Amino acid sequence: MMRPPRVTEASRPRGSGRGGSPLTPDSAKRIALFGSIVVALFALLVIRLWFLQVVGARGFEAQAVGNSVRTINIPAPRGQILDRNGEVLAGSRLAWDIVALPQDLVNGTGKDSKLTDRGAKTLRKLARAIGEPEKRLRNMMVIGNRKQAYKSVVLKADIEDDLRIPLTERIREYPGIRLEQTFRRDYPFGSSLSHVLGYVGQISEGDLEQKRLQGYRNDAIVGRAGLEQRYEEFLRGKDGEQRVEVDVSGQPVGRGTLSKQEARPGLTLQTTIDITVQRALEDAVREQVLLKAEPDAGGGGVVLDIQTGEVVAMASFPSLDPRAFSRGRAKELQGFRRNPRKAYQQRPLLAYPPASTFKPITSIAALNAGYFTPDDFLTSPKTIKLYTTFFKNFRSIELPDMQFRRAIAMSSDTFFYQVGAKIFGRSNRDEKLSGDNKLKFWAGQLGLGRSTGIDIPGERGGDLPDKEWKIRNLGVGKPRNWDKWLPGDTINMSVGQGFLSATPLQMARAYSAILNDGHRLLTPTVGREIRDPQTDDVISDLAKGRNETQLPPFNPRVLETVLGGLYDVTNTSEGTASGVFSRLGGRVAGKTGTAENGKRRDHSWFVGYAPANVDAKPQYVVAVIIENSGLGTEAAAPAACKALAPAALYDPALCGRGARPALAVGAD
Amino acid sequence: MLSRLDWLLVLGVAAITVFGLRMVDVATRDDIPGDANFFAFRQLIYVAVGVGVMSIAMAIDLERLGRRPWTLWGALCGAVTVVLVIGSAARGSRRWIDFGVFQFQPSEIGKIAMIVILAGILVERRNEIGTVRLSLLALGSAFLPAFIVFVQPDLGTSLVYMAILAGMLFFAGVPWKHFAVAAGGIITLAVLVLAVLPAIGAPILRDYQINRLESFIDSSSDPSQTGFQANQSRIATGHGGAFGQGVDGATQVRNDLLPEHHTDFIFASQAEMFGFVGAALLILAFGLVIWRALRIMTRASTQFDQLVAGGIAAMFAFQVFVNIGMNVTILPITGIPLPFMSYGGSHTLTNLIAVGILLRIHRTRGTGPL
Repeated sequence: MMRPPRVTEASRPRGSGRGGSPLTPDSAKRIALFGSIVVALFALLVIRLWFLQVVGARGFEAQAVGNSVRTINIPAPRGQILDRNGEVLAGSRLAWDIVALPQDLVNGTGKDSKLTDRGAKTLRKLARAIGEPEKRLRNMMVIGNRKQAYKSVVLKADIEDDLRIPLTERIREYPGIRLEQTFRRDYPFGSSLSHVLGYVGQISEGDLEQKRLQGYRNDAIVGRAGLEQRYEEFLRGKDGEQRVEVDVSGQPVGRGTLSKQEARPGLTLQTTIDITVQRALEDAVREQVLLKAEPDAGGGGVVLDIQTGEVVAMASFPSLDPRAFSRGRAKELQGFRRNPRKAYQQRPLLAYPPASTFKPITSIAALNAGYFTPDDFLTSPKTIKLYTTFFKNFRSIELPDMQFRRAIAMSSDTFFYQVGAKIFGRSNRDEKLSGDNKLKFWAGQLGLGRSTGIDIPGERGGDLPDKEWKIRNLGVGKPRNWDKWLPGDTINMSVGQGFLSATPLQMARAYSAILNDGHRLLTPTVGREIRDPQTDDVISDLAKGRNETQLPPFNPRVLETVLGGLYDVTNTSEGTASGVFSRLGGRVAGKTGTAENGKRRDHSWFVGYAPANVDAKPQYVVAVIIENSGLGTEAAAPAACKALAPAALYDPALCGRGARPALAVGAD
Repeated sequence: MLSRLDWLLVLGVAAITVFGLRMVDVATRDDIPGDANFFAFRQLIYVAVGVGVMSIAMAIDLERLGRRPWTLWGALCGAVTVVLVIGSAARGSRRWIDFGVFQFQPSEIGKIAMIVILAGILVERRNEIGTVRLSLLALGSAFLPAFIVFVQPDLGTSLVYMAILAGMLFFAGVPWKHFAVAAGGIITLAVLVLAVLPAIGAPILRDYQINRLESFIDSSSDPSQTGFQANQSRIATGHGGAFGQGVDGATQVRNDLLPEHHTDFIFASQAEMFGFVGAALLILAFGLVIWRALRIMTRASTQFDQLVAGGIAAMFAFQVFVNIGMNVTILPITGIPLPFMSYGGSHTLTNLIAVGILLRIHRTRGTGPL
């Protein structure tokens, strides 16, 4: 590269005069040396480049890709839950979260995780901008890094537009911070149906170990109760993911998406709920609880389709706000937990003594066995001694001698005590000892003593007692006669008291079985079908797998007697609920119940159906319980009347207020 | 007239400058949203103005300036001091004077002044060359402006001053012993500045300067903090591979992962885009320029011209080596731009003026070897 400079004649420095070269042998040598040094140093650079770019290229390739390629989760919306007419009961709403990848802001792994200077600066600035404590954000990132450095951490969920828009514009000032679109569960009817729908929440570490939740992201949202939990497998969507090129602040750059796997939205669950009936039932139950129940009591009810077993409405008061769960608002959640009326309880699925609503079942058991005929008259005295015990009529009133139909209408206790005594008396020796007599048989045939199999988690089965049951359940305290079935046990059971208990859902289902064509005991269901949200194709018909069993054959006169009794309850002046239903022209029939409850006020029951007119086919059955509120006709019956109005197409204003009946008229 | 141009020098400088313009253009397309040509357009103006002042430089007789070295020295010291006092700060440093449309960095043109001053002093006292007295005088005359620039703080430019001094003393024939003593002194000073003084509570280097040194020593230890730039630069260079990733494939540059990709790290930017082949060709082009500078030096008609050409050669060689060395992470980050490539007005003008001076020296060459 350097030609050795030739030395001229002058070998001394020549000052500034023109004409001669100032180049001396020494300076020529020095220039040559300088040139050589430059050549050597530049060669060093080229050698270094060779090692970086040719020998080591592969490692840097990976680093460069890791630097600028991010996998972004594309959230899938959770499937909608619809009512029977297509109204959205639970939907998904677009929302924005502020997220960050721990690996972008934190150094080290595990316990050595520490925010970088850049990361700390970004978080400080972000904390000020979004009004969150800086310390909280820092902790979230460090903890996130300890778990999984490459999983986004949500720093603030579901931000409002007045925060999102300015933040979007200035997002490059927050390197490592991203705004991520997600879906939030939305319940357009608020706290309506809250117990049925359930709620969703972030998956817990315990959940992740469960088999059915395998393959979930550690920040996935899962159904935690109700339908959300029961139909999780269909409702959950499958998140997609997108590999994109990002710049130094972690923002996707315009040039592009490298690969993309679309999200698959969750499937639609169509339910059998009719939101109009549902709201009527909720309003009616709430009204009666607030009006008549004790301050720590609640209420609930259910409306079933008699022919199919579909749940048209199911309510429990107080209700919950499912939005509070999906947003994780601790304060509200605590409010539910501390609510004296026990908001977490789902009343239609809790077991209570069915009281007089059980009398139609007693009637069927006794009449169908031929122990009595519908024409037999029995007395209804104030008190009656059966076996060795005195049994009192309700409020110790005396009623005239009567037949079954009238006994149901007036709800005579002493009448049915005698029926119970006869059922016990006529059973054989084994049945006497075990308590497994005709009464228990029919109650069991009508679904009592075991859960109904409804597609909502958390159902109680209630108690259908016999000797075995007593030994199992009373054995611990060993009260008197804990291991013997006594006549009094059957006699108490015949009026729906004693050890017997049933849920409102069970009673509604039992009445349906008595009322429907073919006397089928059906499985109540809320889910009807699973549909593809895009094509609307039915993917799974949930109605198909419904279990149903046939009741034993009925004597038609028995049915006529019992249904006649139920009609008279609401439609004759001496019927226990006539004050509530008399203006409806025979549209509704049913049975009141007043469950004794120790020293506290009675639980108020009503189980009824509509239409009850002679030629109409019964369509809807309703069962309502209002805890600690008094007689069946006082609270539950008016609630049931209003709840059935939109289904049975009558004006709820026609329902009576359920005042205390004149003592002489009826008992319970 | 045109026949007396050093066409190879012109070719080399033009090639690098045009390539540099192209690099500034493609590396900054995404930097200013909505204005893809922001930097390229400005750099084009700097180059145009630079070619203009280069032509003017070709017509100026520097030797007359060189006869009054101390006046020039006073002006240089004054200019860098004024900047220190009233200059506009950027990134924690006061180096620029803001003329509104254009910020000028006097310490850049000061490099030329430094060369002229040293050449003037050395020619004036040519009979004392070799004496300790002259070496110390030259050292002092370069050290004061370099120190003021260092305080601005602008370590890179002050190092260039010292490199010019070393090169010119070397070319002037200062004995080896002086260089050996100076090297010893620098090592002692370094130990004092880096270890002893901070230990007794009197830090000389700024935190960012210490960080740069530390991150150079182990840049991969902490990729998100002080070593971030060096690490990203190394990844960008390595990512280029043998033949480069092309303009669109250069993710380090285009996604802003490589900071200062149009200024201090423009070499790593071009290395990512054009690979080993491009980088080696570029280094060869710089070799061409420095060779022509040295060749012009050997043909200079006066000792003054010879020393000026030597100073310019030393300046180019030092800047190119230190900048590329920092880009390929064999040297610490010192903030020295790459001549004719890095975005920036002052240094583009300065370097083109230097080329103009070389061309003048070539044009007025004497009877030296042809």
